[in-house]
Amino acid sequence: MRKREKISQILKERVLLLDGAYGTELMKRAGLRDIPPEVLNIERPDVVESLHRDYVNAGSDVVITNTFGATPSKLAEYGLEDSFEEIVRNAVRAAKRATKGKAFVFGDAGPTGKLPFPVGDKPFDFFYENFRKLFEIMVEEGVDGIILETFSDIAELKAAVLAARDASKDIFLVAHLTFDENGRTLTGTDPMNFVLTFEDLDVDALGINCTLGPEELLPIFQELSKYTDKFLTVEPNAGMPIVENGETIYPVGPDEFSVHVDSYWEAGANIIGGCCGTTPEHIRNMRRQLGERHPVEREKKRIFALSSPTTIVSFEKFVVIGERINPAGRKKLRKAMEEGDLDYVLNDGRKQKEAGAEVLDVNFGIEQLVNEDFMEKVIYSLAYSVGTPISIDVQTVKRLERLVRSYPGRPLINSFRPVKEEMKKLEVLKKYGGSVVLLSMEEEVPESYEDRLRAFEKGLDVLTSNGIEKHRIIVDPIVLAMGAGGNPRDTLKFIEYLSSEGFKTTLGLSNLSFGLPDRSHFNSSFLVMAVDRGLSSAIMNPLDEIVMKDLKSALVILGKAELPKKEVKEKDEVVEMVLAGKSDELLEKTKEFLKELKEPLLVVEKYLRPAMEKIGDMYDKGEIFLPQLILAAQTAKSSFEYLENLMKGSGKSEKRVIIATVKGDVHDIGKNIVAAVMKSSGYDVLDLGKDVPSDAIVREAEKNKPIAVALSAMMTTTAPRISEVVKLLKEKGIKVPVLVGGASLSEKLAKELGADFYAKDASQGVKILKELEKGGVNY
Amino acid sequence: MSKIFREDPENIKIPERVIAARLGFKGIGKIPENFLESFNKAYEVAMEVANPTAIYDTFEVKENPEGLIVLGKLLKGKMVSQHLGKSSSITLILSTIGIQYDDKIEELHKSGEELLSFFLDGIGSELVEYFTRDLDRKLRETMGNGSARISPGYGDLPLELNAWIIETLGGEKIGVSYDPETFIMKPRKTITALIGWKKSLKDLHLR
Repeated sequence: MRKREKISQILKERVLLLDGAYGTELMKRAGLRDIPPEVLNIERPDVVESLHRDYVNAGSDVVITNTFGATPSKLAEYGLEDSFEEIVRNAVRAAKRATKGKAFVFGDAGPTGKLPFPVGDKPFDFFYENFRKLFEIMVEEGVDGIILETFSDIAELKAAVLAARDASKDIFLVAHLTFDENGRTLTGTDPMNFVLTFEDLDVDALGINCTLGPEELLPIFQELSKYTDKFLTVEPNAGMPIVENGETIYPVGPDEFSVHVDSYWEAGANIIGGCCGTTPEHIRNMRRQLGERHPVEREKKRIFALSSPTTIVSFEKFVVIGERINPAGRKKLRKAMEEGDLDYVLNDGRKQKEAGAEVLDVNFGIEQLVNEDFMEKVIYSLAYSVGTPISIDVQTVKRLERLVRSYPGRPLINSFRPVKEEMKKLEVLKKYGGSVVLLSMEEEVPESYEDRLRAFEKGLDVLTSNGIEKHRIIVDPIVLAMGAGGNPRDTLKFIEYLSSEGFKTTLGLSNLSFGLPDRSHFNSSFLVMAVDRGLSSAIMNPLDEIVMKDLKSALVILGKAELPKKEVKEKDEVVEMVLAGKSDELLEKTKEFLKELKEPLLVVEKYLRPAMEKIGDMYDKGEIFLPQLILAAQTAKSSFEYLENLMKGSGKSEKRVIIATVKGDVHDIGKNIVAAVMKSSGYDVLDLGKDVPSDAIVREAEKNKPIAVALSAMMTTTAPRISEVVKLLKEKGIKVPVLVGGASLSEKLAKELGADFYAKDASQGVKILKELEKGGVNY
Repeated sequence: MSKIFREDPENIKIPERVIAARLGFKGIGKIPENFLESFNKAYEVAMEVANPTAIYDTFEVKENPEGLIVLGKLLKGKMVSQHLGKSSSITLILSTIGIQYDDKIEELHKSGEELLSFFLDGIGSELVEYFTRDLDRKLRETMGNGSARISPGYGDLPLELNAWIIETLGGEKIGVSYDPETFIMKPRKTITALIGWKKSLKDLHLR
């Protein structure tokens, strides 16, 4: 059995333990200062071997070689280039001597310390070549796997991954990035983007190490685990380093470190270890805590998206792909490309981004006239500096391969047709990843809906049978020039079909109006119709204001974008008071408002409810946290009660809502929050408490005639009580909407239980009540 | 014979980041400055009213074609086979921070102190989890090679096991009861759990 298969099989059964730090530990043991620890591989291999042995004895299932900084370029900085091979060979040998087959040996590699152009000055192949030399020696020496640690840039990590896989298909390959506390790498990549970029590549495990301690790193690791079904590895530092008397100290000791093992296991880790500052003692404690655990099962969220190092563009909403970087009909651009004028091309990209393009299509025209290195620079500069993901519209397979191979993120490959001469592109997709535009055409342009369908089905079959999954395919339904006899109604019909089948779509919009007058109007009208039928994106000119404005309006009308809101710059005094928890001041202010407006109801409608609505919106957008929402509700309560009492005196009716946690359930914190937020939005909430029998809820509903009954059920065993309440209400002929929420519920389950509405949180609950008041929803 | 484990709540260390996330301050890793006063107040109350107490016992496992048999009870399903399969013994754990804690949450809610009530609730959830982690760690020091700690309600492990664990360990001794229909436990901040023990760490069979 191959090494990677064997390790993969073990990982399906149990979580493995990696070792701890080498750099910090070797420096301590050998009294090193200012020389790289890799020197010990030739000068004191006994020290290295003894540390490996200590880790194995402490319980490590995997040890890594002392080669973190052993790339040729890094060693050359210390004048050690001539010792490169000896350093690497000795490192693997020391690890193998120490483990004696009791643990796996993974060859370790860290970053070169250089960054790719344009952040630094190195081309992709600088990194690839450095790693290739390193990994070839490691594989010759018989490592079981290769682990790439502490990388801070996805392009360099990608180069290392490709080099490792080219060195051997048989080794287990682990790729790590290191993240700052803000959840981004040095060059701006977040965990979701990490997955997008590496999910398609031939890597066995993805993970995170270094920079942060176990506590700080956990939420970033949890984020990573949501998006991938590859194995997951993690090595936190022993805390964030502190410098004391010139010494770097890692504050998290072995006991404290091992407490976090449970959290990482829960988050889906398959291999757990320690990075800087961890010792054999840390590993010993982790071994005890880890025991022999089966990994948890994870559910992966599939994302249809493209990325650049800093930006992810999801196709869940309409995406404008800028078409302007294409020299057809643009003499100056063609000249710039032929002469290598990078600024000119970049400027073109920036303008399109400012005008609303989220992805940029890059076409070099007659590719033989453009220097290949320049092509790579264009793609890199756009991806890193302009920040948009790129649609690589390059037809020469060799050039396409070079650009996709080195692309820092998940690119769009534009395009693929199911014809013989295009099959080589499949290899590019398979080996280097990316999404692909599948054209609904073969050799000839499609003349009908049926031609498109046939070509699409053939293309889909070719792609999926080659392992390119649906979430990487975006279909071009082909729009032809009307002036040349193209029938756009076939295209529209085909978009409708593709959309109903769940496919993402894009098309070259400008083709439609080629040779026609009033091109913008033709393009715009067609685009609006296509969006209505489900088109997900278009390769188009974002500088065409007519088309862009119509597109924006159409997206709003179709409910695919929010109504543009006027920015209100002035401060809202009431909102600020409520958020700051100043209930006394708010009450005084409420009394002032009452003097001005006379009617308590008017004060509620004009000041308090709008303020609470705004706070609800802020919560929905993630601008404030849940405790702030609760505090706001608590703050507004006394003012509402004050006005409510006055209204009761005047005999005006309230908007009553009944709320309860169902029978058998004693978890009421969620219900309490919802009740408080509803009260603070001006509703008269009758809180029946927790563990309330269904008949009692129905009795109160009959007596109080509320505008809604809100029920909370936390557990799966108590959720069925909801249907009991709904049934009893029906039997008694009480027509009242039932709104439900709670940890065990979902929209689907709520409907199955007979509820009219499901609210995921308090803010949404209030929104539903408002819609009910307006009569804007049916139930 | 069931054993009792108690801990002073002051000694239970909950990472700040974990508490912050539990209380809704997601992604910032700490309690914001303007909420510190309320948080500290809630934490102080938590330390006063929490009474972390656990009861636990270890039982031999008999293998059965359908699953594992512990004290005549058949434990089966995916969670059991993945996590507890091949165990030679299993420890049952019942841990709680007491009914007074629930009462205090309710009292604060009723007096309109919603934020404090919410904070106390969140702190309680983590307090009982980290208290159970302390017991878990203590057990591993003496019992050796353990499985993950799993609880009824995870995966296909049925909630009705709550009843069995409470009955088996004598939950009334530490004031824990359950609803026979829903298997929801009282006090609310209560955990039931199982850890399987294997005699020795499985060889990796590397070569």
